[in-house]
Amino acid sequence: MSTDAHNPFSHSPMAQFEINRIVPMNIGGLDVSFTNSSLMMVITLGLITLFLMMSTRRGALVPGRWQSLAEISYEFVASMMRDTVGDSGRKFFPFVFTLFMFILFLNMLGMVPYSFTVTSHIIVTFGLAALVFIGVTVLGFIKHGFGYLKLFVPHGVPAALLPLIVVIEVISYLSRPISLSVRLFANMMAGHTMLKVFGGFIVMLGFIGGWLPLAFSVAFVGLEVLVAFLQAYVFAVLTCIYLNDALHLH
Amino acid sequence: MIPDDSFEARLEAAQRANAPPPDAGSRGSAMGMAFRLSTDLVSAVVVGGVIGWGLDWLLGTDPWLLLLFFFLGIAAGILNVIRTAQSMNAAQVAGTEVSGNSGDSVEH
Repeated sequence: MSTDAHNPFSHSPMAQFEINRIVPMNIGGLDVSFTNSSLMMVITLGLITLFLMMSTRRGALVPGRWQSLAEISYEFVASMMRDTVGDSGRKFFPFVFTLFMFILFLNMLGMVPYSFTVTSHIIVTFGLAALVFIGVTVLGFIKHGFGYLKLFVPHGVPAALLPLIVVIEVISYLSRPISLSVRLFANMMAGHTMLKVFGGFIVMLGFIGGWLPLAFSVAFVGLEVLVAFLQAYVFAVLTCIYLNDALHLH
Repeated sequence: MIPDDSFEARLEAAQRANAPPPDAGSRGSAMGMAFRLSTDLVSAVVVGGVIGWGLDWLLGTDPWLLLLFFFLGIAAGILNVIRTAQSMNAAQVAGTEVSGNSGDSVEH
């Protein structure tokens, strides 16, 4: 829209979500350029790897600061999985832990000024949600065969109502990846847009009237950090619930 | 004078002043709950509408399947919301009683 959208000082609250090509690439007519979004993902992966490798390198009996941080994140995801899936979910710990750390770091790095929030793009969150959805569905069919379809047939429904109920259950099942991805994307995008809008108010009102939006912005940054953590947690916990549904048919 | 000025009293006062309001965390998660319920409702309606529209496009039965699946989507959305709310209630009850591992108590 505006020509100065690439300028980080642009007033447009949506300019922060622009995707810029850093290394333009084109394979077979597909645009697979290395963008600022890709760069943030690579930085995130690097930071997570660095954090976990460095903090568990020594493996001291009495953990230091970094080691306890790594142990807290392990414990957090492990106890969440124990509570929602039970012991049979232990095999899937690496997947859920990776997912949680990836989303958490993307959200938190998005809070750094002038950085880019990858999770504010619905295609990224939908990609992650579709991965979870397809993975869980395939897992359910491997584990139970066609018996997995019993998920769509609740107990004690009169036969006359069955066609209606099954269709409703299927729609409800298919809506899972949509609600999973929209929740993360909308939270991140709304929060960052709000921050930018109030940041713009501070500049516009200047030294005289800018103090009120400044105070609001400071409070809102705190809330956004909470939301960044909470949304990563919600994504991981829902992944666990879907895993539980696929593992234990009822 | 002297007991009020002691280090412990001042530390306690400072900690009380810096403590977050008791409902700060729960307000954030209440907003999260509300958002979770609303996306559960809306996503099912959208999926129902898209299925109906796609079937209409395939079968040439223009508005009828869209209308049917739109309402089925609403029903599925309400089902989603009821289930999510039930699991939230269960989690809250489990949280107030014991925080042990109750493997299969989540969702219906």
